[in-house]
Amino acid sequence: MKRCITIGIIIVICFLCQSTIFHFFELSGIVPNLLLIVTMSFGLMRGRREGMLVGFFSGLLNDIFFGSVMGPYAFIYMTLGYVNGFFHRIYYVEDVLLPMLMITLNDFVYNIIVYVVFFLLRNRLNFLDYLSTVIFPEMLYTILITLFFYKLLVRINLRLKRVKEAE
Amino acid sequence: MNFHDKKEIPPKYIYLFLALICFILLFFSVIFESRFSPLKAVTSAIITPMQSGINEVGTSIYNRVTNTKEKEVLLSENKELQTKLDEYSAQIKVYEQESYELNRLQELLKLQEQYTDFRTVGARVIATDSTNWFSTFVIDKGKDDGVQVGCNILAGNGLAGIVTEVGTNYSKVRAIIDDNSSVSASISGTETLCTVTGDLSSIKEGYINIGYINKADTIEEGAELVTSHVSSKFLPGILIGYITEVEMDANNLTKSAKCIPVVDFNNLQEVLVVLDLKADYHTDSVNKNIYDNITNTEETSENNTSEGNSEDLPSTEEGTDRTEENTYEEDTRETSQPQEEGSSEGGSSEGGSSEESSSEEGSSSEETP
Repeated sequence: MKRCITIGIIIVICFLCQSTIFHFFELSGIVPNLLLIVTMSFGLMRGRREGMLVGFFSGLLNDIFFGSVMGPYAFIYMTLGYVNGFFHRIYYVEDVLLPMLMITLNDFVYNIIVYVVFFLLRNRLNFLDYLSTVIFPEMLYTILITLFFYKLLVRINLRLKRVKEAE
Repeated sequence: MNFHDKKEIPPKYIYLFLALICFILLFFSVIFESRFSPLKAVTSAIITPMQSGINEVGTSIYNRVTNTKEKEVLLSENKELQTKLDEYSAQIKVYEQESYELNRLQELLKLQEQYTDFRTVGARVIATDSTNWFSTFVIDKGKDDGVQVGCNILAGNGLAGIVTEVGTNYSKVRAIIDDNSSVSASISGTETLCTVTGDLSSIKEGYINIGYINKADTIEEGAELVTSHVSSKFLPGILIGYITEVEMDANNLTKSAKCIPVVDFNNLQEVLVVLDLKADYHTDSVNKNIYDNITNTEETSENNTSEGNSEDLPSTEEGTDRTEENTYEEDTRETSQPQEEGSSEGGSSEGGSSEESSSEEGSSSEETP
């Protein structure tokens, strides 16, 4: 229960930051994708089940607030969280390279899907333009944030584990 | 919730189940748009106050940082503006005389005043789209303050966007630079109609696209672009931006141009919501008719457009129902409309009745020599 509430609060805080104060620190009009970092981290640290659920609720929050329809973001985030869960097997706490690699891949795949679903289907064909103005900057910024944020999430996760074991 | 203790259900079944939920949600939210309002209301009741709180703190810090940095810039700018102000106040004198004359002439023609004052309410931007693909934002005024779907949003002295969704204490605004947005506009001082579409890749360079300008119309660079009187959603005469780079389209029938918006979308903090809807705004289109009749007798086709417009104007409820659908209609139209048919200016932005755009097509073809 404690775990559930903590993760819920983390998701909400990340969503709030992403939609409000990160716009003051945006680099060339780009904000990092915090929710994806959370989804990726919990997918890696806790496996498919939890990555999927965290992704689902992160995406749903995004859908409710900024989507014109419900569901697409929830599905994208959930799938990414689920796929990340497969890498739980080769995860260990001290490893930094794996999460970096994963977030790069995740963010790239996420943006490609968003581009295809919301832009390519509306006949916006200059992919390279979007790649250089949106996708790459977001990837770089997100990787940068992951460096600090992932460590925090790992620490929270360990804390939660310890609390669980103490009970 | 200990997921690891419940080993009974393998994750792939949960995944499939949630995926199914996603698609059901997707399906139902397209068909029964209104059914989801309670869910949205509950989440926004929790999230919106937090957003506005965080945003207030963020804004105050941001302002403090930028204030010190920009002081010198502002001082030099102030001097520059002062000289400009003197220039303009001289110009105003001329305009005052002209407007006096206009009033006198309008009285003679028994016309009502063309621009009535709009009822407005100030609002604060509390959240911006969390993805990098769209330019929608959330403001802290909603149904309780009289905001409706379709209300125009102004910032500074220019058009910023339109309300697409209203909650009790928040509303969602689609900015005119959003990739889905398109606005029917006209060039100030002329009767040239065109369509202003937001484009993600061009706004990164600081402009939005103008399309479907009749090739016969001569356009000066730097001309003011305002919302047109034939639009079914935007009130007429609101400044959008200034035109730069005009060029002929590949189809040799229409021209396109770039427009630098007057609103600074990177730094949007306070906006003005116009509570009057275009749907209720009859007087202007009627006036426009008479005005057109007198000034350009050749452009009789123009009248038909506005006449059709005023007749087609739906009641408020109808209007709100339609605007939500329009987003999709706009899209499909934009893609389905081949470039060769470019002469149907403003067609995609109207999104409303097909009669309207067809009559417009008629007008442009007549105007083409």
